[in-house]
Amino acid sequence: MDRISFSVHFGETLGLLGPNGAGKTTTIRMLTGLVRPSSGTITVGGYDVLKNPIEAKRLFDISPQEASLHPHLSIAEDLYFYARLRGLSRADSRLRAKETLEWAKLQDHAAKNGHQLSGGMQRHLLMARALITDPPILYLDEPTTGLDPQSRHALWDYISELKARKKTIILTTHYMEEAEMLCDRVIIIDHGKIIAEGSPAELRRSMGIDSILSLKPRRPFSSADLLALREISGVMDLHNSNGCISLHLRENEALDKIVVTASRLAGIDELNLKEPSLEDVFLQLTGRGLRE
Amino acid sequence: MIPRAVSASLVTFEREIYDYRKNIFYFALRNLIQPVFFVLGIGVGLGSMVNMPGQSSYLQFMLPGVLMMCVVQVCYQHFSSEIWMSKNHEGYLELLTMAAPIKPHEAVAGYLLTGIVIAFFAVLCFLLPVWLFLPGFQISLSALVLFTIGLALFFTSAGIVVGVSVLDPHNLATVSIFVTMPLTYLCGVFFPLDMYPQPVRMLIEAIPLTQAIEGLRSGTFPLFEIAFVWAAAALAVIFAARMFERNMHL
Repeated sequence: MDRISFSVHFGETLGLLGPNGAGKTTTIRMLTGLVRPSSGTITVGGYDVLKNPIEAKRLFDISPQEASLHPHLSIAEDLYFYARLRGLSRADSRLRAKETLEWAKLQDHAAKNGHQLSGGMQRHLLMARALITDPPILYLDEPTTGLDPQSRHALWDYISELKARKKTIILTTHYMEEAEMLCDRVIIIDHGKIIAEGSPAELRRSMGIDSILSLKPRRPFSSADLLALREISGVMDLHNSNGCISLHLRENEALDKIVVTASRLAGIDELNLKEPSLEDVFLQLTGRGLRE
Repeated sequence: MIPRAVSASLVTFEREIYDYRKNIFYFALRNLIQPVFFVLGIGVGLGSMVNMPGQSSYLQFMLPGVLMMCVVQVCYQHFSSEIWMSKNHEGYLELLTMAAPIKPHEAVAGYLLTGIVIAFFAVLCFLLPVWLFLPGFQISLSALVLFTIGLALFFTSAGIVVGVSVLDPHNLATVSIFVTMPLTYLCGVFFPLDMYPQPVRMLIEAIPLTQAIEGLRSGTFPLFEIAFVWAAAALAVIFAARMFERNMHL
């Protein structure tokens, strides 16, 4: 990470977005004290994470990216020992493990080993486990990565419920739709640096465009055709991908001229006009090149 | 009211012992298998052809060595693999660092306490059949208890150091062979130390296992040997706690 600095307010949901290897998980690991920064401080609820780790850890918990479930313990036992590790008494741990299983709707699977659960159930379990001591701050590291739509929507409902309970949440995700729906504020990280920060609406506005027009021509555009389209007043940017083009428009007045010109040059097969999304902001800031 | 640090150590102990208890039959079998082969194959078989001056039988000479070897094997093997799995496979140590309000040395204390308990379990697994089939076998129980604790601390620490340091599972097996094989065959389990030339003997005597075996065989209370094993254990514990803490952070 390279000189990153941010703060999160009580009850706020902050999204950390970035391509693979941008530094999202490293940031979360630093917030927990797992990775020590070479300089600077990390304060949680007034406690320095490195100097007062015990006090800081009482205020937060984490749903990690990896399953981290015991191979020999049932999920009920795993939850019990997790509660014990978090500092609860034996009686409270038993009670909270039971309540947590109910909250995660996993009571029927209590005797199973964590690795016998589906990916979606494991994610439910990890998120439920992070709530076992009901901490005010939660770190959710890519909680929905690799899940089917049903499991993803179920977890979004969980996170919405946590937001309603005024939990302070730091969420890392690859899904812009998820960030747009759940986050009050978003930080985009790339190559270890913060490259943009703001609410999803602020970031969308920061693109400086009104709309994005996607167009599939009947016949392929030539280079001269693309140049002609790019030079229309109000067109800010043009991307050509597999024969389809997308145009970033500052003024929707340019629309008539684009449609007439494209129709004359190559004909139009499909046309789609939309407002810029967080994904468009993300791609504009981090580029379209593949990351490892 | 139990102090937080003690409570934190006991939680680690509770979790480890619970896991151990769930597989106790398998662990009991593992504790017995190698010593039984040593006793039958070398003690009874080969030993019948050996005449030990000053000893009633070769088996009587060998048993304290095999007993202490059990402690070494159980503690080292259990914790090197357990800690390696926790760190590299289960992600438990990472979770412990990220989420549990437990300091690294408190977790190490829990592991050491577990090491002592499973060492005594291994001693019992071996001694009960020995007493059953060899009622004449005598050993100083107080010295046995003190050596068992000392060796359990030393070799649990060694297991922790190897478990947190080694990344490749193949290397874990190789390191284990280099640790346990020389201890088994060089520390006087099967033959007296008089067989060694003096400089080699001095090196062998610097190993805590050798001192424990020699101490249990001596006719008097082995105060020096106990002090030696405990001092080595103290150093090993400090080193293991430091290595554990260093490896808990990325």
